[in-house]
Order: sequence, then C-alpha cells, then structure tokens
Amino acid sequence: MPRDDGLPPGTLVMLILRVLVSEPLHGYAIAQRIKELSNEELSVEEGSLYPALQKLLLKGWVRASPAISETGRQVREYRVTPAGRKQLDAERANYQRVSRAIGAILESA
Amino acid sequence: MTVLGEWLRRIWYLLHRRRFDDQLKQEMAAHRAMMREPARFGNTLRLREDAQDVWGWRWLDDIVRDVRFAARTLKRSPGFSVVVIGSLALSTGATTAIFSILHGVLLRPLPFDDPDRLVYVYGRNWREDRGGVPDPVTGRVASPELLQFRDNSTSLLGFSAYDVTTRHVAGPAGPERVTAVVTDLEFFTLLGATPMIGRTFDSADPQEVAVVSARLWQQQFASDPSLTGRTITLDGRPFTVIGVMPEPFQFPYAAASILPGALPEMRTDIWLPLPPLRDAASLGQRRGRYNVIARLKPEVDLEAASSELRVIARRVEEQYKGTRVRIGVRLEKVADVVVRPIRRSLWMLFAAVGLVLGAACANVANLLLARTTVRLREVVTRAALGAGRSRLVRQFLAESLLLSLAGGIAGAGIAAWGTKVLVAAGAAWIPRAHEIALHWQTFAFLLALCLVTAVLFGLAPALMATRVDLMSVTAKSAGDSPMAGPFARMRDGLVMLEVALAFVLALGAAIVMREIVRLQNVESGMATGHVVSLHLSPRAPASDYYAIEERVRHMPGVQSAGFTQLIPLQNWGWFADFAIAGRASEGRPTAGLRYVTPGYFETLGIPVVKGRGFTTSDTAESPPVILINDALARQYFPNEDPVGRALDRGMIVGVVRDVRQVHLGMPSEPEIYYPAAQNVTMASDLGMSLLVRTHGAPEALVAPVRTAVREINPNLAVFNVRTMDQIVSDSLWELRLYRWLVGLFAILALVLATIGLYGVIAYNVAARTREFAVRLALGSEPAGLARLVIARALGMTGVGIAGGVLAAMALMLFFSQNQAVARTGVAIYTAIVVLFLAITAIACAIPAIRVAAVNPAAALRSE
Repeated sequence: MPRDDGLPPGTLVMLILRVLVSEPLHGYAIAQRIKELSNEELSVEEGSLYPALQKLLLKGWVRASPAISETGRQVREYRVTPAGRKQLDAERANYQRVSRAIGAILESA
Repeated sequence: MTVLGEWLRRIWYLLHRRRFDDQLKQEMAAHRAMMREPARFGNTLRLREDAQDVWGWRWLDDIVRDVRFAARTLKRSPGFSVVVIGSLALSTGATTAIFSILHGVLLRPLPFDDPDRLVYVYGRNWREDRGGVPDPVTGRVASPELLQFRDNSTSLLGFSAYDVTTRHVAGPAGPERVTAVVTDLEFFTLLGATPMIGRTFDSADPQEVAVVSARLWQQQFASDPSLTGRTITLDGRPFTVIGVMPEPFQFPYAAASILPGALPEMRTDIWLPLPPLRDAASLGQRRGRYNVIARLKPEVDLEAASSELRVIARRVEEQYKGTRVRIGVRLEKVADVVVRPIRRSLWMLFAAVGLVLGAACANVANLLLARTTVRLREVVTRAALGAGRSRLVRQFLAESLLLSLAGGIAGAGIAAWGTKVLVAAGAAWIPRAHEIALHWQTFAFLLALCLVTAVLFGLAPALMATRVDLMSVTAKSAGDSPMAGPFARMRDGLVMLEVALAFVLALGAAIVMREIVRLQNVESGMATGHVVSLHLSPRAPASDYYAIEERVRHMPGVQSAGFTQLIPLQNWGWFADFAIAGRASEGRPTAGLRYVTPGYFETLGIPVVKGRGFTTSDTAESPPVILINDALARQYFPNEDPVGRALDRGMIVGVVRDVRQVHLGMPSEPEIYYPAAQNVTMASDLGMSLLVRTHGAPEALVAPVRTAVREINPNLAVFNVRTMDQIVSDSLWELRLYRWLVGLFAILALVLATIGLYGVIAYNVAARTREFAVRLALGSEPAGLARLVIARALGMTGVGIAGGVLAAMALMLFFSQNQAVARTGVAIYTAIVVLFLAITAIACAIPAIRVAAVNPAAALRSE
C-alpha cells in the first residue's frame, strides 16, 4: 500500500525517468537518488516504486537488464529508451507549464 | 501503435512470466537488504503482487485458479459430474442439432445472388362463364400475360419461366430417369448462380444444349473437367453439355415432389432450354403455362410490383371479353415459398427441444443447489477467511461454466451425429436438406447456449450461497437447517418446473402418437398388403401397358396387376372440372382424375359397388366410359342410379368404393376413373405406375416383372420400386418424424423430472432423519411417516402438473387450427396425469421405504 511520500500525484514516473536519464540504476538506487536529489525532501516508497517501474517497462519507456548490486545481489538495471526520453520531455514541459500557472495564481493572491 | 506495442510487451511478459517474476522477487529482496530498516519494507508478497498487477493479467490468473479449483472439486464427486454433464450434453446436443436444421433451412439465405429480391409469380386462369368461385392465385402463369409482364413491367428486372419434367439419360445399364428443368435462357442469370465448370445458357444458344448437375457429370463423364464436345443423349436426342452446376445448386427446390412416381430424393439433374414462348398471336389458346420467377428491382417492394403486374394483367383480360377470363397475379418471395411446408414444424420442434433444455437446466440447477447445501460449510469458511461475495460467486460460476462447457463439448458430438441422422431421415422431404451442414454459426450457437445455461443454472445457487447468514450456519450442525428456507423452496420450485415442462412435452408426444394411430386405422379404401408398385416411364402406347398387365398377371405368384398414372397417398392430387349431361350447371364441380387399366381395382382391392369395372374391350374405338367413386355418386346423384348417366367426360358404367386419394387425413373427394386405353394421351409424360398383387412376398417378383417390361418395351425405365405398405407408411413421414423427435424429447424430460423429484425427496428424507426418529420414538407409525414423504412428493407433482396443464392449454389456443390438437380431450390429459403419478411413485419409493425403516435409536445416536 503506497504510503504518503510527499510526491505530487503523477510525478513519480517523471522523476524516475529523470534520474535514469543520467545513468542506468537499479530499484533501490533509484529511490536513493530521488531522495538525494530532493535534499531528503522526497522519499519514494517501495510500494509505489515497483509498480511504477513495471508500468515504465510496460509502456516501453525503460528497458531492464540483469545486473549485480553493490551488495552482490541479482538486480535489474533500468535504462531509459528513446521513447522514455520523449515521454520525459513531454512530462517535464507539461509539469513546468502547470507549476508556473499554479505559481502565478499563488503569487497573485 | 503504442497500444499495439504495449500489448506485445504484455504478451511477452505472459510468455516469460516465471523469469520476470523471479527478477522482481530478487530485486525486491536486494532492495530490502540494502535498506537501513528492512522491517519498514512492508509485506513483500503484497508489494510484489501489486507490481505484477500492472501487467494486467490478474483476471487470467484468477480464472485459471478458479477453473483448477472447480475441476478438482468436480473430480471429487464423479457421479454428480457425470449426471450433470450427461444431461447437459444430451440437451444442448439435441438443441444444437435442431438448430442446425433450422439454421440451414430457415435462417441461411438461399444460395443465390441477393436472394431476398427473388420472387415467384403466381397466376390463375379462372373463367367467369364457367361459374364457381375463383380459386386463390396459386397457379402457373400463362404465356400471353407472361410476355406482357416481360415487356411492360418496370418494377421487375426480369422474368424466367420454367417447367419441371423428366428425361431419360441413355446409359450402359439402360435409360435412367432424371428430373429435368426446362427453362428460358435467362434462368441462371436471374438467379445469379454460377457453374463450377463451363457456362450456363447464353442468348445465342441453340435448343440442344444442357447444363447438368455435378452428380450426373460424375456418373456420365467420370467428372472429366474438359467439356468440349461432350454430348448426352436424352430420350434419343443428343444434347451438348455446356456447363456443370455445383452439387448444392438445386432450383427449383423440391422439384421432384410435384412429379408422380418421382425419385424419392428431391433433386434436379439437368437443365434444358425452353422453346421460345408462344407469341401473342396465340392468345386465344391460353396454352403454355409456366412456373415463373422474377427479380425485384432494388428499392421496389413486393406490394408495388404486385400492383403493377395486376394492372398489366387487367389489360390482358380485356382481350378475352368473350370468355371472361380472370387472370390473377400474385408475388411471393422465393425464400418464403421454399420453406413454407416446413417452417412451422421446425419452429415447433425447436420450441420442443427448448423445453428439454429448460428441464435440463432446472435439473442441473437443482443438483447444484443440493451440492451447495452440502458445501455450505466450505462456503462459510471461505467467506470467513476473507473471500468477497463476488469472489465466491465467481467460483461458483467457474464450476458451472466448466460443467456446461464439458457438456457442450460432448453435446457438439451429439449435435453433429444428430444432424446427420435427421438430414438422412428427412432428406426426401425437408427442402434445402442438401444444404444443411455444420456451420460455424452452429458452434457459436452451441457455445452461446453453454454460456447462457451455465449462468442460468449456476447463478442461482451462487447467489443463494453467498446470501446465507454466516452465523446461522456455523452455529448449527451440518445436517440440519440448510434445507429449510430459500434453498428448499427454490429446489421445490425447480422440480415443479421440470414436471410442468415434461408434462407439456409428454402431451405433445401423446398427441402425435395418437394421431398416427388414428391415421393408421383410417379406412384407406385399399387392401395394401402384398402389393408392390413400380414406376415405368417415359410414356408408352396404351397397348404396351395392357400387354404388360396381361403378361404380369399370368406370372406365377401374381394375383393381379394394373396401372395408374398416380398412386394414391402421394400428398398430391390431379383435379379437373366436369359437367353432368342434361343437368343445368350450377358452377363447375371438380373431381380427381385417374387413368387406370382394368386390373387396377382388383390389385388395390377397391370393390366395384355398382355397375361394372373396366375391361379390355373398353378401347379407343369403343364409346368413352368412366367409373366414378362413391363420394361423387353420393354428392351428385344422391337419389338416383348414376350408372348409365353421362358426364361430359364419358358414360358412367360403374361406381367404385372411396379411396383416400391424397392423404390418410383427408376425406375422399369425388373422383373419376378413365380407362387408360381411351385416354392415355391425357395421362402425363411421366409414365405410369404398375401395381402388382402377389400371393407371397411381393419383392421376389420385381426382377421377373422388370424382364417382362423390357421384353414388351425396351425403352421403358423401371424404377422407384416400393411396396404399397411402404407408400402408406411414407405418407405419414412427417408425423413419424415428430413422433420420434417429440417422443425422444418427452422421454428425456421425463427422466430429468424423475431424477429431480427423486433428488429432492431423498435429500429431504435424509435431512429430516432426526425429526423422523424423534417422531418414531414418540410413537408415530412408520407407514404414517412414509405417507408424509409421499404426500410431499405428490404435492410437488400436483403443482407441476397444474402448471403443465395451464401451459399446454395456452399452447393449444395457439395451435387450435391444427386438427390433431383440436381433438385433444380429457382422456389424453388423464392418461398423462396417471403417467406422472406413476413416476412420482417411482421417485419416492426408495425414500419412503428408507423412512419407514428408520431405526430411531441409531439415528439419534449418530448426531
């Protein structure tokens, strides 16, 4: 059951794509990376992360390849596909547009 | 495109599922291990399932799991499963078999181009000055108006005239008679039928061309695909074969059924060009009458086209001022005409088999309810462990689906077999029988049937089970309460429904059987034992017939022999009008006509009741004489001796006893007999039937008779050999078919109802054993308890019978114009009620005995 992780709804996919653009990562590393980049502000719960990763696989936005984690375990490393890049651009543009609009409203008050 | 990609990935996932899930499991385990507080990871299994659900295959997993579980459960009670699957297989199989006939004959469009626009054109040739009432317009169309229709109609695309006749194909084994259709050159184009080899008629074709059926092609030319120069000899004349029609092509349907002494199968094997229609100059003759088909133009309806043709027909009538001919014209869709004789019967059979299916569903629902009752504790346990209501319902539906699909698979076999048997049995009588095949629609129907029945019998128990109050069941012991309340009422209701359905079917079967018995006992007016009939064609000189009769009569073992152009009881008659000399005509009375040789009456055992029969001295040179039947004498000479009176058709020299001419169910009509010697030209081109009465088994004489015929006239083909008893019995084919089918359906429904009754009563007794034990212990008589059980069973049967009677009466109102139905009286109802009481007695015999034998001490201790 996804717990409240402070993420605005619908942004998790975008964030995962964003961290994967820099380098291929496995599940735990993705969660860590998002936490780091947000200055510990956002934490991705495993209950949301893995369904989101499955969705990315299903949509064809990322590809997974077997890898060995730092602790020596079998994991999957996810890397962004061209379709995923396109999706990220679209979502980022959309997010920025919406957040600017929301910001404008909040400023004006 | 993205959607397609997504689906491909979904399917890829499904195919490599084990690996995917393994990877997910491992990476989640790794994740957990790397966390600072692994305990915060949550429920690993649950999280994994949530992630897997994204791929969207959960429903499939659930189905597989449900079906596996259902299969395991059913395997644990094989007796139950066999009974359920067996009754479903029989009922869905029978329903599908009837459906495939119904579909092939009634529902599938005719195999022609745009068949809905093809119409039959009917005409009439009634003359006002001859009096009488105008007949309904069901006759053929005369060439004068046909030519006018063709020239002036704007609502029809074309007209094609045809005539059904026979030809004799020369072959190594002597001439073979085939049914031929003589038609104009537009025939095939109008129908939109294409040949499998060669071509059909062309407007430039001469008269000596022929299109043949695939059967004839195979027989005559061993299916040689090259057509060039092939000729076929018909009645001594060579015809060039230009095309071969594929085997399913038959038009007109049932062509042969209107030909006396025709081959038993209704098929046409050869199509020949019709000589050009007489031109308008021969208007006065009004000869040349044809069957006519036409094609409606698009956007023109039947009504508009009919009224246009009526206007044209009226213009033609005006040219007959003197004779006051009244031409009628009527259009009817070919599709309707073709199936008219069978449509009602097929729907009735479908309804009957539907009742069987209903009874089977009720029975299976009943059995499933009984099982649910026993399994209530299982259901309750699963509900208590968190299975939702929809989950439970799904589980029950999976079970019933599995049962019905298993029944359906077995049913498909029964359907395929049943269809074959039915088509074989009805091939000679059911139009389009040769087109019936198991189409995909048949299996779609069967599948739909399975799904519907599964829901019908599966949903009720499922909903019942989930509505049970958890506490009330868990609190009580197993054998106790469940049978009380809604379950019991529902099961009783189902049994009553079964009884009612079985009652209706049994009544239907009884009506059909009584009708057959009645018709078999009808006085046909003939002595049919030891008589064999052989058809001889083409037409021969009358002297040949007399010579054959004379020769055959003196053969050892032969008692007598005689010819007629039309054997009685062919569902067909040959009627014409007549006038009585010296009597003012109040209209033109009609009578059946038969052309016979002198030995006919003795051979069929028809006594001459007044005057004399025909003799060999009634020749073409002697004055024309006729015989009349008793019906004509009674009707037109009620108080006088008809012998010596003259009709316009000859001098009456005798009166013979009545014969049922057309059908055993139809009373004898007035009839006139001609001696063949005086009137053989009037007899048809189709030859004559020879009847031979023998001392011993008639079949033994067929070979010597053939030889005798060949010696007198080698051109005569002898075929269609049947005993007279066979002919009488064939004339009731339709009723026989119904007797078999409806009888079979009724037996099925009765067996189902008996099983249902037994099941409910036996269960009831088992559930109440403790109560009975207490009663016995308190001093009840065992016989009294047995009476209780029987009374309950009788109550259920009673309600079921009452429902059956009401339903039957409603149905009877619907079929009240049917004579057999109208004759149904109290006696039949009573007989069936008694039958059902007997069945009830059988169903409750064992439970009642068991009750009477209850050992109170043992029963009470067992709890």
